Amino acid sequence: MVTNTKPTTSYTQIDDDQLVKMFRRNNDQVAFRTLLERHQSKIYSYIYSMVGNGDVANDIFQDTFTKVITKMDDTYNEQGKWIAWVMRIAHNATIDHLRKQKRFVDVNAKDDPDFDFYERIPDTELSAQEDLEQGESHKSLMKHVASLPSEQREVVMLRHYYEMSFKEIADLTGVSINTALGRMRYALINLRKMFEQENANEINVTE
Amino acid sequence: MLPNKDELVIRYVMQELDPSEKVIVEKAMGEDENLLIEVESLRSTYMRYASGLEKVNAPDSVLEHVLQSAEEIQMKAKSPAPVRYLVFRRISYAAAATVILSAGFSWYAATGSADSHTTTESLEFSLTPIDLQSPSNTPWVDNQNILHINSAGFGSVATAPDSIPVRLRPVEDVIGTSRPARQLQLTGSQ
Repeated sequence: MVTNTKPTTSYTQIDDDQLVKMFRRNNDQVAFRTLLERHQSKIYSYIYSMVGNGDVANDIFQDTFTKVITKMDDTYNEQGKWIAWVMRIAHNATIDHLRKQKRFVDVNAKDDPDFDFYERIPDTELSAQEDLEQGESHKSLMKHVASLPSEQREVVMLRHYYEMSFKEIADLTGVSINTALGRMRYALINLRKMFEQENANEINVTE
Repeated sequence: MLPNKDELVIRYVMQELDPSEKVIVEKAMGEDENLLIEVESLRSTYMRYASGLEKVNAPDSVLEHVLQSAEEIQMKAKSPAPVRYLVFRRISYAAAATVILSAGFSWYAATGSADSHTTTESLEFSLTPIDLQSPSNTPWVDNQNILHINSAGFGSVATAPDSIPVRLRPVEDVIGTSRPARQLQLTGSQ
């Protein structure tokens, strides 16, 4: 059973680096809870938007933080930003999952060169978080974003949820800045086409 | 015409340009209507998804599970090792210490006695090669009629080369593993 470790006001005013030190050196669970509550939404949103499935997102989120806790003493360098390190772990876990998923689905999609596994995810899976008060427009937008090729989706989400610069995105994904910028540009062009298509469909329905 | 137009445009839309680059793009937009339309189109798309994509909170059960894991992992890391493990660790330390001490003592005994022998006997047998100075080793002949005179560095008159019969001659193709400095092999073949 988790002990009562609700963050107090004093903890919420402490910066990440200090909280990390308190957790590592004194096993301060309140410090860890404060860190988790401060950053969980951006980490979870990124994972969820990339995999498009609530259950899978939950698993990857838990795996991410299990790695964070177990590897903090070995691989985290306190000189760097803790949240950047966590985001990298979450990103790698997400990409690992997508690669495994793609390998699995590719076996059944040999004959389709334009195949993207995301297109085969049923709509019901994309709306697994309906109870979180997502509006129709949000669901529609998530569906459009999910339809982007994974490289473009990755750049869009890293930029949006992690607020990374294109240099940071390029470093994380192992491509040049110009490639990252190009992916963002194509993502916007593709999204624009989807929005236009959606608008056209709505007009047809009303007529 | 803008150099690297595509990169500049997307960085302009994402508000990642230096002020000087921003001025260049805005000037180009003022001169090129198509560029202006493209930038505005990308910007409206960006604004639409950026305002529509909300952050999603992880479910409470997932957060509680993470916190529980954190507590368990930290407690496991801080808890003392089990008794059985401690006993095993002590035994292994004791065994390691015994091996090291035995090896050290043996080495000390061997080198210490060898040093004392060489010091005293080198005066008496100064002309005798040190490798043939073994009173305890006696020559022996193997089944291929080869005479072996082994020594561990201690002198012996009986093993001096002068006492070997004339018909014997040194082996020419010494086996690679044998050490000429410590072993002399002779053969009786014609």
